[in-house]
Order: sequence, then structure tokens, then C-alpha cells
Amino acid sequence: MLALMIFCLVAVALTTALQQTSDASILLRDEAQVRLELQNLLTETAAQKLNPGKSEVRVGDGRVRYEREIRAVQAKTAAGVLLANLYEITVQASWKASNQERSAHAEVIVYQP
Amino acid sequence: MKQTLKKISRARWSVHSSGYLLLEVLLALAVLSIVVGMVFQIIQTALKVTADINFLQTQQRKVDGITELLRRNFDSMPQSSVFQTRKINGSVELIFRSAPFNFSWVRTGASFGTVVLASRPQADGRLALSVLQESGNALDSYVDAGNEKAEWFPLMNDVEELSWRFFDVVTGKWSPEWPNTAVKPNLVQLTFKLAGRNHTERCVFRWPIAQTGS
Repeated sequence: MLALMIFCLVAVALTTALQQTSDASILLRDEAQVRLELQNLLTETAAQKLNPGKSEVRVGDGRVRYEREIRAVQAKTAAGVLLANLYEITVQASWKASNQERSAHAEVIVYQP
Repeated sequence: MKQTLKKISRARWSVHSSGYLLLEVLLALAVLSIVVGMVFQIIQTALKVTADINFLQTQQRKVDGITELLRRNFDSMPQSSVFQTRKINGSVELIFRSAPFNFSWVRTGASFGTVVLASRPQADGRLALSVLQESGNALDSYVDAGNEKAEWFPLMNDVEELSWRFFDVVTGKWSPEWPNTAVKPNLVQLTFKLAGRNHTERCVFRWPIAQTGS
């Protein structure tokens, strides 16, 4: 009985380890896809006419929620001159994996006269 | 009385020392088979999970690699290059003329010519995203003379679906083809689905701003 109990414990531990490995793999895959999609959205947004504001972007099966924010950057030179036509694009991704909320974001500053 | 107890004790000892009961042996065998079965199950699952993870990682590397390669191709395109697409047998071909050979790894220095990106059918019915680089004369050319013996180089195999889209900032619309050689699209989108993956990959490439005038 003792041997059987030890075996059961080991089996449960191994199964848990396998589950965690599988979860880690799915998480890595998700993060790689999100990274690629964030890059795509930044590229796409920067090439279009920029209007400050926040909007949701529908991509793929909708499992990952993407939000895009464009805001004008109030930057000044050392001499105090205001630099116009600078925009900051921020893309935020949020999704659920292994019963945990995950998020990632990327931003870029674009000059668009 | 004492003698009788001794006899019984001797008799029990002789029964125990003679071996195991059939029931005990059968029970032990049943437990052993269950244990061995479970061990095999665990090993099998572990091997399957490892193989799946390896497969996913390899495919992800493939996607990252092709994305980076194509991004560099668009980034390094000179202003003098000419771009257009054409449709051959239902497949869109991207043709870059006066373009650098970004997809060759030879030590003969930089080469220029015509570069074609297209999906080519594989023997198993799937597609391969392939590249063709031509620097010879127009008579032997695949693009200009339809030479079918051209040497295509596969960049990515086992593709189930592949499509391109081109964005025009003036109209603000995406179109599936770009026949106009006078201007270049601001954005190029590649969408593909690799065999064994249950979702579609999307890559957006930006043409250098200086060339599109956006």
C-alpha cells in the first residue's frame, strides 16, 4: 500500500509537470503571436492618417483583445520650441491563458506632417 | 494444552513458509499490470507533449524567420525598383524589378535583377512560398518570356493557404492585386496558414516612406 501510495504521488507530480510544460508552451506560442500582431498593428497604424483617440481592433478569432491609442506628443526642444506633428501610437493586447490575465503592449513615436 | 498450541503454531508456520496463496499472486499481478499501464501512459503522454512542443517551436521559428526575411526585403528595396503583381494560374506573383537579390547567400557581392515572390504548388498539394531571382537576359526570363525552367527557391514549405493584400494610402483601401508600376503600395500584408497549425498568421510590411510618398 505504501509503495502504491508513493507511486500515485509520483504519477500525480509527473502529470502536473506535464500540464505545466504544456501551459508554458501555449503561453510562449501566444506571446510570439501577440508580439507579431503588435508589430503588424504598429506598422499598419503608422502608415495611415493618424487621428488621436482610442479604439479597439478586431484581429483573428478575437481570443486576444487589441486596443490602439494614438495621442499627440507635446515635445519641446532644449530651446523651448514645440515639436509639432509627433504622435505616440500604443497598442495593447490582453488575453487569458491558464486562468490568468495576460497583457502586452508596444509603442512607437511617429512624425507625420 | 501447551503442546496443542505449539502444534498449531508449527502448522501455521509451515503453511506460511510453503509460499503465497493463488489469490495473493493474482492480486499482485493485477496491481503490477495497473502500475505498468500507468507508467506507459505517462511516458507516452510525455513523449507526445514533447513532440508537440518541438513542432510548435519549429513552426514559430519558421514564421518569425520568414517575417524578418520579408521585412528586410521591403526595407532594403531601393527607390529605383519597380513593383507590380500579376496573377498566374490563380496565384498572385509579386514582381520586383531592379531589385537587390536579398534572398541569396553567395559571396559574389551584391546582385540586382528581377525578384519574384510567389506560392508554388508542392508535390503533396500544399504550397511553398518561393522566390525566383533573375539577372539574365529577357529571353530566358520567367517573368518576360515565361520560361518554366526557372529555378525557384522555397522559403517556406507546407503552406495550406496563402494570400497577399496591398494598401493604397490615397484611397485608404486594401486590394488583392497591385498592377500599377507607377506607384508602390504603402503596406503589404501576407496571410498564410501552415499545415498543422490551427490559426492563420498575418504579417504586415511597410514600404519605405521615401518611395511611397506618404
